[in-house]
Amino acid sequence: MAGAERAKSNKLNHIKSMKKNFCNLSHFQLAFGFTLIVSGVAIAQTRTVSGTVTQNQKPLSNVSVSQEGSSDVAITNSSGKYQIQVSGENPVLIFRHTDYSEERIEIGSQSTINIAMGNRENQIEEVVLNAGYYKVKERENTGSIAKVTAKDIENQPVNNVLSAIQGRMAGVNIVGSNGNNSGGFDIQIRGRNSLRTITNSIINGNEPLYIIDGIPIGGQMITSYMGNFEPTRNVNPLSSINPNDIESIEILKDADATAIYGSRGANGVILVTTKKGNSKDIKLSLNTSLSLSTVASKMKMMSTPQYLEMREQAYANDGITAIPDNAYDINGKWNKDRYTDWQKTLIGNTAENNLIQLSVSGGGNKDSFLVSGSHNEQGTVYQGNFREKTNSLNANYNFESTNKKFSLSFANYLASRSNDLMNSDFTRRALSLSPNAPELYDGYGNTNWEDNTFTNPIASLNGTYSAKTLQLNQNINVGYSFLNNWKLKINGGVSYWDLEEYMLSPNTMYNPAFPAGASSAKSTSVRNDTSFFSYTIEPQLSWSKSVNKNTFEVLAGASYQETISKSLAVRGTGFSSNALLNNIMAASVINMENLNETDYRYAAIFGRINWQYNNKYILNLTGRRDGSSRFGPNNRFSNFGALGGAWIISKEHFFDNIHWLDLVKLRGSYGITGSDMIGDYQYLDTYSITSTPYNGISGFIPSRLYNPDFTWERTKKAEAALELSAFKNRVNIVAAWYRNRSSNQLVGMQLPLITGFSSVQANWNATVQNSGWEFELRGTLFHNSDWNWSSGFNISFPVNKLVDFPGLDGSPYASIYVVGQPTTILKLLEYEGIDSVTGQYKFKDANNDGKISILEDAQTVENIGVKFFGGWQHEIRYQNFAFSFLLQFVKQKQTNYFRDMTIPGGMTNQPEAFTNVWSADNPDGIIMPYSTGSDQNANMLTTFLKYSTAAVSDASFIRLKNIQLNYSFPLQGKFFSGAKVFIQGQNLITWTNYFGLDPEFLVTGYIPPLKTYSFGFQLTF
Amino acid sequence: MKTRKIKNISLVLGLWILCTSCEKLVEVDLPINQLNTEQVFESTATADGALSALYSEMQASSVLSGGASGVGCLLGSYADDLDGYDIYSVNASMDIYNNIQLSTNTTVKMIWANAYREIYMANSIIAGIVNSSSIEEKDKQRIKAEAVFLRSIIYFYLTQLYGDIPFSTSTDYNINQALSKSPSEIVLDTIAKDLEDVVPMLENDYRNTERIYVNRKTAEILLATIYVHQKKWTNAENLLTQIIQSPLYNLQQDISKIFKKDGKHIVWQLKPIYEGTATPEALLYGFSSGVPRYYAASDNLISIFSDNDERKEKWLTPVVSNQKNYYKIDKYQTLTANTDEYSIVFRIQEAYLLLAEVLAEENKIEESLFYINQIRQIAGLSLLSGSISQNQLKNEISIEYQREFFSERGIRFLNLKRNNKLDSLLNTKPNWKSYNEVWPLPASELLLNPNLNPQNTGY
Repeated sequence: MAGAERAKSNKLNHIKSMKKNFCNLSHFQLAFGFTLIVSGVAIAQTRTVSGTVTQNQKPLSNVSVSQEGSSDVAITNSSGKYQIQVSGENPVLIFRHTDYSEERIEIGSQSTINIAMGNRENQIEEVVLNAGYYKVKERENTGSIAKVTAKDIENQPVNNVLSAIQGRMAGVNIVGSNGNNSGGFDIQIRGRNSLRTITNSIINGNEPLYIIDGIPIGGQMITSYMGNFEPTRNVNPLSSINPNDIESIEILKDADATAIYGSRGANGVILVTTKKGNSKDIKLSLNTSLSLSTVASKMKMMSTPQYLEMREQAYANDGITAIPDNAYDINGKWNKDRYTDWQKTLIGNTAENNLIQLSVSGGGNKDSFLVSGSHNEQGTVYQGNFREKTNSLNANYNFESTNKKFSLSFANYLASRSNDLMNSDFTRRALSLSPNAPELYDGYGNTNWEDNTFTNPIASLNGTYSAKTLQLNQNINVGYSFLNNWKLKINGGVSYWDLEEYMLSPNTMYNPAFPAGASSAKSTSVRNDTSFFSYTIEPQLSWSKSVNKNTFEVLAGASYQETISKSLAVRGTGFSSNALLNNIMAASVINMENLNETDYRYAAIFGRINWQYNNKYILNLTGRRDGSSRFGPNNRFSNFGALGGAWIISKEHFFDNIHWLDLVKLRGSYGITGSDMIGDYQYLDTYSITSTPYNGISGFIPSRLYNPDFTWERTKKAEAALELSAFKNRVNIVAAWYRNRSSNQLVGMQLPLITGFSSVQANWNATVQNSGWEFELRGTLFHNSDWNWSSGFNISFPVNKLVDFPGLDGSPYASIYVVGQPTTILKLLEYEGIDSVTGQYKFKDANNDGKISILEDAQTVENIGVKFFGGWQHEIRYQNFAFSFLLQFVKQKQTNYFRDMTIPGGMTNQPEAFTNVWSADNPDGIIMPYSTGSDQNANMLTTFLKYSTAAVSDASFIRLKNIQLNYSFPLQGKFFSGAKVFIQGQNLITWTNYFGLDPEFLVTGYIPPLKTYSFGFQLTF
Repeated sequence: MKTRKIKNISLVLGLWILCTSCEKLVEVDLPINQLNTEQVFESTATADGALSALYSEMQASSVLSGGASGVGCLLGSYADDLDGYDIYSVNASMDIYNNIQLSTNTTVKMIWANAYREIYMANSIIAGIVNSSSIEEKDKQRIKAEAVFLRSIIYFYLTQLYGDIPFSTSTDYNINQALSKSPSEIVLDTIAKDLEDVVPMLENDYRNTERIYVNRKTAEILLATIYVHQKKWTNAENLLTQIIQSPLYNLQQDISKIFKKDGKHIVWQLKPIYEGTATPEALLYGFSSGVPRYYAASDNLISIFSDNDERKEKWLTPVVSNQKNYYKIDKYQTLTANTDEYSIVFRIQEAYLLLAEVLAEENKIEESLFYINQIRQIAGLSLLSGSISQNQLKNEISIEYQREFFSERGIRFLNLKRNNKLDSLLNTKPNWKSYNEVWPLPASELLLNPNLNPQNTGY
């Protein structure tokens, strides 16, 4: 472009000097003249380029030759010859043929370009997988690594990239916890190995290892203040990263891929690579989108007449003639004609989301860079002005010396997010409030307490939660090749994560008639600061050599990580005015709730030996010795390792004549990994400082039950897989079988409360097995020069089993687990329907003792879990249009609405399905005759129902997860090199028979997933 | 070649050095908010810190608490003093009020969980202090005695609420997780012996003039209560007489000052955790208009007061809503900037009524009347005459408990229970059944520790 620029600047100078004389030259004429000159410059540089295209030394016809950025096309004739006009400086020619990979040649000032087109097999070889410490070509890979690239992630209207990859990877089950913007996720990579989940322990023991640009994330950012609307109680490490900044995500699943991560790879490893610069020209791109979201699922609840009918019947059935004073809904205190759809009022708002991103990338022969910044603003589905703003900056720089011996790269990711949310989640109230509950506001716009009978949910909006997160990841990678075969690499990085939370609870959240709401002297405000600072150093040395038909690659390295986390929480109570809540210094009582600093250190050495023979047989041996500060002094170190192998059968001579099969590969691996996700200092016998002083003297409480002996969990993983590629790579199939066994599990062993605690950290001598099958099918269904239709299908069949537990019968787990069954079972009463004579729920008396008790008779085993899951995606391209959609499907059984119900007839709204109540005239009713909750027998039977097989049912669903249509404008101007417009939809349709709010999110009482429509455009300069 | 050899050697050397120094690399210091257990019991101040945490548990979440987790409101509504109004309580406190609690009741489980946590804390302090080598003997005795007292009072309530319960004196979870139940008589026996042992280890003089820590008399009053439950009248009489005669205590003549923190009638009270915050009782029972939020006086409670009883005037405030009178429990009144009210656990008036009860049981009518009449006089009631029969006197004492101690620590329930009079509740509580004299053991506990079987009858 230099010539045009020179011309431009000459013109400007000319204009400047001419200005005095021609200052009344109109703008239009100026622009016209400008364009003429520019195009003149361009036209002046047109010339002819010609050449021959061959393949396998034979001329190739029907190859389309075009210049990048132009729509002129030339086709090679039967002799493979072509001729085309090119213009501009540094023109680029593109050669396309249906059967071969596209070639892109910068022709510089040459006029003759001859090329040989390769075959498709090269393409599969060229897919390079990031395995963490090394890169491996997909073809030579001996482990199980799933990969999703930017192409599938880009522009999806999601906040966390994990939502974008749901349903796309076999063996990876990602379930969101709620529909809020910064909602957490439960990720199971080949099942749950550990019994420690966030519901039964502080730390989620199934959390995989997150690595962003080579730097592991220091820990789990857990906060107790978010518990009201975030059931996982932690902030997912990827939630601040803009999905558009991600180049690829690789998930390492089996032993061969994860053993090199030793003690932290048991639950799988998630490698995130952010986008880097790679173009030789300066490229500027602008990306913006707008999304609108609403709650995707709704529960059909009773209308006011149905509800009042239920209540009246309930009192009649209980024999209560005088309606109690506090039954405001039917004693006339509340207006019986009112109706409010509480789901619509409380969580029915449309959330608006705006994203704008600008990125600059470029480079030269030796280096390249990328800088991209984004700003994202999101609303919520609640009433009120709650929003979340995220700003991110991704900057990286890569340098390679001319002799390719020295390489250096910096990657920097900075994200800052501020949340303004409410203090609690409305979903539970939206489902339980009586349909005739009073108005939210009185005639004057004030909160309506309806004479102290109504705990108005709107008042909770006065309580706010705001959080500011700052996340900084910095990674430096230096490599130096010497003596031909050796390479020294040092990977280092720093990760800093800071979360500042304010939880303001003014007295206006409560009714002023009661002490808690009386005045701002009761208002409280909490400020909690948590930060992680983590640094990692990993020096590595690698050596490779080819001798005859053998190729060796050896890698040895060491890793050291330290994470320092600090937390500080202060609570202020009693303010002279609610306007002062943000400054705790103004409180009359200030109390330090928490002050702590913890240290985590981790050191390891690891190595890898990879041996390939004749490009056919591959053996990969990895090992690691780890030490972690989380274990007691006697048990700090342990060894892990794996052996993986692959046999490329299609290279054998008996495959020489089978041309339709491109690749047949058999691979397998076996190894041992571990897990240290147990929280720090758990082996100590200590007292902790409490935050509740008595008479001003701070207290100490025992920190935990003491067990100094716990050691590493060990998970043995075995895998075997077959990979096929056929019809010139039009069809790719992967079938894999895996079996993981975890023993010596570190669990918070559940204890009866008599011990003073509910659990103790101990190794459980039981063995849990996760095994299953994964299938992936990818193919190009149709392809010609205008159309391309490709499709991908993946399905996983996970099976979990408690293989062995000596001593189960005498342990606290005797009533929960059964050897030979999955660990996700529930032992329930067998529900036998409603008795046709008494109209009461019937249950099977398993021990025939004449009475029903949960203790004795809950013997029916129901497996709550996923039977299979997967996704089916299609991508159709027609010229400049691209259309794709992903269907996610899950077959599972889960607990349904019955599990958490309150007795129908009490002062709580019920699903419309419960209007189907049993009576002598309606023997098919599903609910016993209504009761108000004051009849002990009815209460007992309802409790039995909740713990019976009625509470478990099919929760399978198919969801149209993502659908998008985009159009790329075929631009040829020098100003814009690309423009794309897109429309996307997320979670648009769900097909399910589930009886409950949403089949995916199973912790009740939180926002269900959101349905989103978005549109936007992308411009490249 | 040579350079390569050197490079190889230095590489191996480097890695070896790395390995051997690995041990030190992964050692970390203790976090700043934790202390090793031995360190806690190395000095009196830190050991008192451990005790302090137990006191604050008592105030905030134990059965003695004046708020929603205490037996004051729970047993008050379980019997016939209070009516419950919490429409949002499901399978919790309202079921207790209605006497229809199931074994899965969340409040039943919470009380159990809190109690055993406090017992663990006490056992941990006792074990730590006994093994301490650097604390003075005098302080060791005092700290142990206070911890034993707190443990004993929790066990006392546990056995009154649940009947036969597991009795633990160890912090070893291997033992505790499989503990079987001990019969309630044995539990009472054991805690009585424990108290007899520690009474001499406590001083009569309060270590804090606001009487927020226990002294010898507090332990004695609990011991006396246990004697009354065990029907050991002579022991009870002697102990109670001694307590009443102590110069530390006087009867408060002004009804309106009984629940203020400065008073010589107070034996033990609990200070709010944060300066200036109201007592849990004031926060729980307060409402200024409309219908009560959680609890208010029952009709039965109102009916037992005569119009000239000062206690009705000062402690029960009518609030009108919809032409109906709701009576607010108004013993503790300060809601903001509280500097004058602490939650009273034991006051001397209880010793008077206990002694009156004991003397009545011993048929010492005259002496009994001496004590009960003092209480009646302060309340403005007429005195009982000497011609009263033993049964009538016992009834009068029973009603006097209700008038004086409604909403306090379940005292009425305890009085009915030890006299086998719980079935009189059938008159006022429609759902009352005789097996309701104890609560069910939490169902989840029976699942985790099968040695706790069988469940209490009826549940």
